[in-house]
Amino acid sequence: MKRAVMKPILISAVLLAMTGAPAHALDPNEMFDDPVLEQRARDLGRELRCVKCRNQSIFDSNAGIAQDMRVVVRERIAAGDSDEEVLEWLRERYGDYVLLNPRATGQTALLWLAPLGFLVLSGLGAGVYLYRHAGGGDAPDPALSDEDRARAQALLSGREKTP
Amino acid sequence: MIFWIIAALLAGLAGLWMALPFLRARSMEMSGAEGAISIYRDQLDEVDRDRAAGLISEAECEAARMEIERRALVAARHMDQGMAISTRAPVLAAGLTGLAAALVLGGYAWLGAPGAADAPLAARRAEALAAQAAAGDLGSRIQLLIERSQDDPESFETWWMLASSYSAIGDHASAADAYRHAVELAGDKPGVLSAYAEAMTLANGNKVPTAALVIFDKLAAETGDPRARYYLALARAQAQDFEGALERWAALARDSAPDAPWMGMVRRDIVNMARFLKVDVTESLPDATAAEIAAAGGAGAGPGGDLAARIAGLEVALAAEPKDYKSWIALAEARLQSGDEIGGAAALGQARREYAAAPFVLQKIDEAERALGLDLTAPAPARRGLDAEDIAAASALSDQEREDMIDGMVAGLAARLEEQPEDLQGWVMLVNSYRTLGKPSKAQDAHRSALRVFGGDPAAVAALERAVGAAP
Amino acid sequence: MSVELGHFALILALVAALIQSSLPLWGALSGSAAAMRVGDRAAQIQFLGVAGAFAALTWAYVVSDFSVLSVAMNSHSSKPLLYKITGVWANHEGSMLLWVLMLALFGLLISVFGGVIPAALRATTLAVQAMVGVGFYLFILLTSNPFERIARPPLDGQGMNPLLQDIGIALHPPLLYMGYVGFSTAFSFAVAALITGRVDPAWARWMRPWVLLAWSGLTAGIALGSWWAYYELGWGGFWFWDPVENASFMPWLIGTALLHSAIVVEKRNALLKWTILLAILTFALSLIGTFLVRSGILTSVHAFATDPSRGAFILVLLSIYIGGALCLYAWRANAIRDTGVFALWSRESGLLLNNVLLVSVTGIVFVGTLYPLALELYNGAKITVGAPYFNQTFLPVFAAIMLVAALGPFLSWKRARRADVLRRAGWVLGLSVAGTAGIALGFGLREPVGLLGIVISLFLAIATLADLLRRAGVPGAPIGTVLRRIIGMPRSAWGLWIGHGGLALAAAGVVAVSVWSAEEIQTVRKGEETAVGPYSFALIDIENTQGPNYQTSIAALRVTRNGELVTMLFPERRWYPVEQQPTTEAGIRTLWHGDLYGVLGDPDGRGGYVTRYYYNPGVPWMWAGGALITLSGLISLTDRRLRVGAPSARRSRRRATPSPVAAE
Repeated sequence: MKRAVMKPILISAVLLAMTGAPAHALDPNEMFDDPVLEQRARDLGRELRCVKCRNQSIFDSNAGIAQDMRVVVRERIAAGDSDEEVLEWLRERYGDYVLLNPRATGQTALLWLAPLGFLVLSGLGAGVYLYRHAGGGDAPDPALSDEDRARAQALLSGREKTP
Repeated sequence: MIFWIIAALLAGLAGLWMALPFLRARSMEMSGAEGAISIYRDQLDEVDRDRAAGLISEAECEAARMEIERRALVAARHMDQGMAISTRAPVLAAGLTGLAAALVLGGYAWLGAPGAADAPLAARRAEALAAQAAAGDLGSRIQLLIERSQDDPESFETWWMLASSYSAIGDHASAADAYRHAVELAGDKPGVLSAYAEAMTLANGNKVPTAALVIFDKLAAETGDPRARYYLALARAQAQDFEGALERWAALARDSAPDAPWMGMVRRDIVNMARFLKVDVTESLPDATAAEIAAAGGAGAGPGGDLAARIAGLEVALAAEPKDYKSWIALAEARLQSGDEIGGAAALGQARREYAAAPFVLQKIDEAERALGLDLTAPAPARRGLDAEDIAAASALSDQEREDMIDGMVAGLAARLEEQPEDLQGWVMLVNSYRTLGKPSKAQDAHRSALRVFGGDPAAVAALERAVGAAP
Repeated sequence: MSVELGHFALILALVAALIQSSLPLWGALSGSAAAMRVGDRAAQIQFLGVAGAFAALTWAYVVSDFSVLSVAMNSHSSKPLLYKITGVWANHEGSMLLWVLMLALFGLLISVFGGVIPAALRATTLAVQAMVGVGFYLFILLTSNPFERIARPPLDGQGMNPLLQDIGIALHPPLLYMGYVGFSTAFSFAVAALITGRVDPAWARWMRPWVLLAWSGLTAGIALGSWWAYYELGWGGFWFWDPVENASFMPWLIGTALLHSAIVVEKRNALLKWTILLAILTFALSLIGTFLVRSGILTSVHAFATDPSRGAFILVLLSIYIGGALCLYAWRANAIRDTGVFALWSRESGLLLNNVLLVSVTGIVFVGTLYPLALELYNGAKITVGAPYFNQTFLPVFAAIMLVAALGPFLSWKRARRADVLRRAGWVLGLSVAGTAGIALGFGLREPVGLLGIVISLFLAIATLADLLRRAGVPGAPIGTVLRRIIGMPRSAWGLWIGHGGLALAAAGVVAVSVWSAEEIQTVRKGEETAVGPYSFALIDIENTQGPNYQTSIAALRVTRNGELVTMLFPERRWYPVEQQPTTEAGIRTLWHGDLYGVLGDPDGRGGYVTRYYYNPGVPWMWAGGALITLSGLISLTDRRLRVGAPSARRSRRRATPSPVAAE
């Protein structure tokens, strides 16, 4: 049985980049009979990127390379590797690129710190703003003179045309 | 030019439209705060509604009202910031208009392709067809001419070309129809009339119909048109007046230059007729070649032993493998040369039965029959293709017979593909048929041949592999 | 000639934009009323120009004029008419033309419906809008001209991607652009405010309808794109954290923040500077999205670096607009003063917190999207940031956003009674935990993450409902009054409830399908049954037939539950021979609680077929939620107070023509 390797086609850019026949995405022939192992293989498949596709996991992709990688994952699992070892094995061969969940290393430090940084920074900004402005909410408002109030009410009721 | 006029007009109008405010006697804009005040009105309404719904207390309501009033006062103060006024400035307006128009026209002159016409596909159908027609595709040429004839049904030229194109692909009925239009437009032009009558004849299975006969008669009498004379002779032969036919053909041959285009046909018919009537061909055709004399069964006939051996050899080969139409035709030819008129017709009749379901081969056999003159002289009824009757008959056949018939169809397909190999569907059908018939080696051969034919076209190979691979 | 007239019209639009970006601004600064009025007219000419160009290009596609390069590359004479038309914007050149068409349209709308806006602000806004236009007209004309001609046109085009011949993907870009480009109005208003120095509640009100319109379009566009991926791509996924998706999601997130902070400006004259900054950032992210999608940098960093003409052009435009606006902001923002004061416990604080969180998640998506690109450009290292990263960083913060969204309406403006708020929140929390427990027991659900998601979704839903009822006077008011009040509620209040309710619904759907979907992949023969969650899928038959331009195998699947027929599904596997490309058409049956989803795969050559069966609970809620969120924007837009020609506005127009002598 010949297997067509679907080349990823890049659809024009506003659109999502997707690949050929999704029904190729997972072939039952690859699957484990043991549901526990199969679940592990699928979970790992979601952590690994199909190296030719745009941000698709090998679990979701139908590219030929994704299938090859799924087979590798299953081979490693069958060989008794732990999840970590499987990921590491693939990382050594395909590079960091293959991990959808980037590792915390020196060069991804900013990436992992950024979310916290955004929260802290924007939180601080808001805190400063509140500190400066929020106090006033509890103080009584300065009163308007009766004359001003009358004029304002006239304005608001539309009686006074132009000042 | 018209484009530039429109463009300049548009550019000028657009510029003028934009510059129009500068032509007003006086323009004024207030920096009004009315919009802002209306917002505060809405906010007051909301406060009142919330108060009424009990969502806020009286004190909160009062505080909110006061805040809104204060903002309204601030907004009102903004109104004092005055207004913008301007007066008519015709120079500015003219400058703006001129600048805008100049920029647009200049920009277009730089970037655009002025004068480039639209090329919608509908308008380019003619071009597309012409391109294909130029590449030799008669179908496109005919399509093109049909469209042209619909656009301009009064054009003799179009009908004439359409008719000759139809003739070229062998659609004589359509050709006759197109010639009829040409005749109507051209009046009694002899060339047109004779072409029309010829097409009618060909459409009639090469039997000269009465209508054509009338035309040929008139033409032969008035202008001595060689084509009319040829067909009049043919009509004689078809009316069983073989001597008359031979006489007329001989006369035509005498009156024509030796290299006239119709001479090949005339000579062939004289030879066949002379053989049939068992007369000396040189009487009718003084300059007959040795081969012609031989073909006519004359004195110069080649060594009879050779011919007999050839006939015997072909008969043996065909008994072993009857699915070989070329050998059948060769057999008919050989038998005719040996003077066996009936045997020749019988060989073709046998070939027709073998290939009853293969129209392509039947056509080849018809052509051979025509070339050998057997259509005129032998009584065997011409059979073309497979009609409903045949199929009905086929269902009544025994298994063996049916199998033979299928074999014949497949063999016909193979024969056709040999001559016209650019037919992917045909190859797929052939490979699958061989498989169904239990002839795997033949299937493989056919598969390989197809791959050779389509080797340069990956899409076709893929399609072939899919279709052939998917077959059981 | 129509093609060349289209080209001409595009250049006319550029010139109109040039005039619109200069004269009205000069008029506003120097006090020339006539120069300011030029802005309106230039906006009209500009729109007519682009519209003419777009019409000409569309016509070229409709009649398959392959002498136009863009048509030859992206269309095909055998396409159905509908997809010829949608093909206009399914390619780079055409989509950029659609981009500027939207831009010019929004400019025209500001001019037409902006009668209540003071002349100087309107003129300046139009000028800024046109400045953006000028850059993109130049981009189109100089690097991506859709009217480029071919001297020897081919007899047929090359654009036949069958994946794109789908109505979902065809309508996706216009809606998305309506959002992207619509945010340009917010940008223009913000920059104009900085130039004229005028920021007040009125300014926020004038800006808000445009933000609402853009935001609704963007919401619909994102939902439609996701829906297309779900049913066309055939593995049940709907969101992939793909950079292209993120490029549209970032403006949406920060646009949501802008929408809410503009309310604070309008109601309370606070958060002015912040709102202006948000308006600039929102459009900045729209431009970055355009850059990401249009520069080709996502396809290949390398290709971008070697042929940067288009990408570099957009990058320069981006730097000019965003850098320029931020510089202006740094220079002028200090002149703007917030006058509104509020307590720590107040609606304002709630909205501020919402803003903090929304900006943070935007930042997270931004970093996650651009980090791999930046790293690769910096030292060539290639890493991937995929769904697991976003699940860990985005989702927790977004959960917090939903909690704030639930509590926000409980807070009253200026100062709220903390005890009241906490008491109500406690009630809602209790109800949602009880509800979740009920669901968990009823359906035997265990997964803690999923249950937490349900609690949060319920919390938002119940809180929203509670706010509606409280405002209608429940408890206490008689039923008639309640009904009358509900009907009489302002549309913007309905916008809040529908929007927050839609968010709760969509979130519940996402949680349900992410945690509890059932998926089975197997090779089956005719007649075989497969259990999928509570359902059973049986392959009944496979039929091979011929479509208009494809061959197809259609499977008949029978879905039963406890032996009773639920539905039949007819998934297809199509093969387009001309394009040598397969597509799948999933068979989907939508029930109120979830989708039954079947995909037909390849035959195994031994009489079996690979099939994928899913039960995706919650998916319909997701789409319904998306639709509700879109609707909420549109409903808010129809609020009388935002509506154009509201009575008060008309009154003001009449009074705007008195004697030119100031009264004071």
